[in-house]
Amino acid sequence: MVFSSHLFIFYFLPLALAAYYALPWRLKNLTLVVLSYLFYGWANPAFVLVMLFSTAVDYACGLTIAGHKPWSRDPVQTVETTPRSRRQRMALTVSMVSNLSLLAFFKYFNFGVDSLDAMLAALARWGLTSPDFGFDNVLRVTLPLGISFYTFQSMSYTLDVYRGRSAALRNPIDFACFVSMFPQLVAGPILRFNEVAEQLRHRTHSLAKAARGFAFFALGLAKKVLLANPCGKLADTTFEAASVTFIDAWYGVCAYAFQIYFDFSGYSDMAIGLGLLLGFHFPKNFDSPYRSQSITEFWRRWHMSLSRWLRDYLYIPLGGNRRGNGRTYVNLAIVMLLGGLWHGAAWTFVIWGAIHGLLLAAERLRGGEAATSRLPQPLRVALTFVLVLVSWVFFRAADLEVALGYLGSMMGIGQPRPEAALLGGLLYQPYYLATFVIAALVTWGAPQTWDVCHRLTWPKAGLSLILFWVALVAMETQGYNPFIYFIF
Amino acid sequence: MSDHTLRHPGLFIAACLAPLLYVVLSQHVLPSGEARGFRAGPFAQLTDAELTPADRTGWGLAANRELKRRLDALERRLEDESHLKKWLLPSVQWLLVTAGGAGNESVYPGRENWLILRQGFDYLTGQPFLEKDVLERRRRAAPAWLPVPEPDPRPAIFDFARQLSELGIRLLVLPAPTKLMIHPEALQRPQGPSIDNPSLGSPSLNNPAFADFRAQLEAGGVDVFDTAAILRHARTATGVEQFLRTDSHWTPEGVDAVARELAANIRQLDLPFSGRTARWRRQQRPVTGVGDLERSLELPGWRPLFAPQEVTVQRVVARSGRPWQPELRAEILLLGDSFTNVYSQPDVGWGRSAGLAEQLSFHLERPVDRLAINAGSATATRRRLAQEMASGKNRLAGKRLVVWQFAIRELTVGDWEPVQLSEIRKASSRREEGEQ
Repeated sequence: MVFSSHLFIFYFLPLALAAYYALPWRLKNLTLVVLSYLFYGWANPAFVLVMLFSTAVDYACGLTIAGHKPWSRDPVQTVETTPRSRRQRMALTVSMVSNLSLLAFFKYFNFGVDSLDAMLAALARWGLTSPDFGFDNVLRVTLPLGISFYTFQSMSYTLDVYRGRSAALRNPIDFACFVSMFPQLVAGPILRFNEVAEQLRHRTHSLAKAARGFAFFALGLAKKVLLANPCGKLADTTFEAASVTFIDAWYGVCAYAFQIYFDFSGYSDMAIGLGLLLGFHFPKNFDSPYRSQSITEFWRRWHMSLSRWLRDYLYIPLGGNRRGNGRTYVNLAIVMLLGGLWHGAAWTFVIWGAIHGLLLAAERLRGGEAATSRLPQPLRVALTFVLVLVSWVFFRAADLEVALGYLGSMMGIGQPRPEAALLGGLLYQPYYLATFVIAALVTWGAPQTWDVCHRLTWPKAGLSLILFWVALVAMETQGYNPFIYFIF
Repeated sequence: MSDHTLRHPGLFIAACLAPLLYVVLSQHVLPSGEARGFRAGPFAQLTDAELTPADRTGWGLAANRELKRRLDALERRLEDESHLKKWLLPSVQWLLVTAGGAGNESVYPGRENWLILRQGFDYLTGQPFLEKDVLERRRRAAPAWLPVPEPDPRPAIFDFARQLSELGIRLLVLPAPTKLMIHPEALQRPQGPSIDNPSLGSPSLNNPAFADFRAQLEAGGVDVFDTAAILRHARTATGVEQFLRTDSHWTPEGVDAVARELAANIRQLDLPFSGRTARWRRQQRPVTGVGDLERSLELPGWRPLFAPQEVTVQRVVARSGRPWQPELRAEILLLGDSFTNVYSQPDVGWGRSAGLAEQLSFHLERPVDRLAINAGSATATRRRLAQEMASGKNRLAGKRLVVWQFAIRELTVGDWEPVQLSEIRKASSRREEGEQ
């Protein structure tokens, strides 16, 4: 089930809100858990068991780390400075290994097999192995929706408890609620446990909060349906073509940049809005990333919850920038490569991560400044956007060959096939051109959803309402509504 | 986020919730012609008592697949049966087509009232359909509850040809082109290269893999009949449009050109046909129709955007005036899809007795057998053939040639499941034994 669907908006959401508000406070988290498992199970009922397993292991590990005694009602929090016992270290290891194993198996097994087969095929070409030797049809694993998000969230819990930054949750319902909460389950923001620990036990509900929640949801839906979807159509048309012209290639990758931004940030806005409707405050996930003047700044503004997670639970434990320049660059490279792989199990994502890692390292080498730092601000923004566009080619392309071919078109290399001239008949229709222009204007000129909803006034609420209705009409009548997080 | 200045936030919430509640209530609770309860409609299929015990596929992954299939079917039905969608769609689509130049997920509007089938556009502009990665992506794109499709057409075609060959029957494949291969001007880029640019109308306007595909088939002993070249030539020579403007199929002139050249080609194959001939005559009939692409756009009936197109079909009739009919005992079997059925089956909407099989029979002066299923040319026609054979109807008895017409776009979207002709042969043998 996705937020921008008939089923979610007209059935699940009203019923979920009715059930949530009708039940007393002590049942609200349980209600959320049931609703979340229903929401999650809709995508594939069997994968509910995977999430349940992950939840059960981390809940038990959290209590073990905190030294919880069943007869005690004391808060179960470790002290940050005391050394950890073998039992605590073991519990943390079990949590990490189980989560990473789930992720490795479900997300990277196929990638591993494919890479192994490609390597064997290369060896066979050199006569080193038999061409018949391969693992192509051993097993194909289906990726559970949102597994990258909830395993990271779940790991943040045991890590926070282990570090003594949060108390372990005694109530398994509260913990299941944290892991499975449907608003941010499939596309983030990735919650760190300490951000919502208190809200799981106590949160407020008010009409004002709910109104802001609806405004967030309305604007997020509008971004997804009215901007991301038409831009996605342009991107699909160019990236799935065998050959594109120079202009179409740039137009297509720009359209993809708008699609992924409005889709992802729209989804985050909807998640934040749903969180408010349920009494939660979720962190901001996007801060106008295409207005960045450097790649370093881009990563402070893009998918902020992932960046924070990687910083707190990977970069800093690796040593961050405290162990000299060389180690800092290695740490950056590791974080960005793993960040790339987190987004998708393919070499194209690794390359995407590597490009960003290299750019970040290059900027750090210059003292945190981009090579463009002496240029006027609009040029700096434009050049940063171009670098991001080049990296998006690897993110979007179906495989490495397609990515390189597409980059070749962007550089004007090679003669496009005659069929490429037909693409223009679709790409430059007024509807798509107008959407593209509006997307650009919103990207660089409009206030952020966060700012609009921070102080909700009637003019802003009215605008949200109109956009909500228009988005509903578009959602109901347009068949193209891709869900791009299946690979995450 | 603690500063709120919206007075009466409840009003805003009510305005947001109102359309959501109205849609659900109007769909399931409020009476609309007949009394409705909330359990009525698509939800029943999940809890239908008839479906629970008997149709259970057991526990485990099979049960999960079945449940997933039902959940998805329910979601699709809720969307398709939405009153809001039915009410809004025609007007929104009209606005998109007229002001935005955009169609829907099946049809793209082109220039000067041409409509383009999206699958045809995707075939022509898309990645080479024989590339390993492309084939693999198509295999993996199938829903989990369905069998993995076979996107590679070659094994099915070679297998079919080999097994027909064992029965002494030759196979000729006939890919019907997509509209833009013949009429690229239907979607000319507004500020792009001129449509008069010869490169746009060149014979190379095809999927990048087609030339290789054709070469491989021919190297494997399968004849390929290039209809695109014939239609391009006919278009250039006569100036007549070879495709219908608002329909995905060829014009009567296009069918006739293909049938005439196909008949000539069959004669050159030098097959051991019997001396049996059949003479037909043709009657010109005007037919006015609304294209399948226009119908797919679901535009409002109150404001038609496209005028119905009038064509003149050539009905093929016997000397007695009896309309042409396929003959089971003919030496040629035409397997096909809607490109075969158009002008032949009245339900396609463009008249009858004037389709590809009829025109081929007319030009060849021989009876022809025909088995055609709309949108089913990749596998469904061969499967139907197998089923008919298994039930004792020997469609291959006495055949010398099978012409397998399929829409060329099927090469990028079709499921090319090999159909075991051994079953056909067994059925054929059983029948022959029975007859003896």
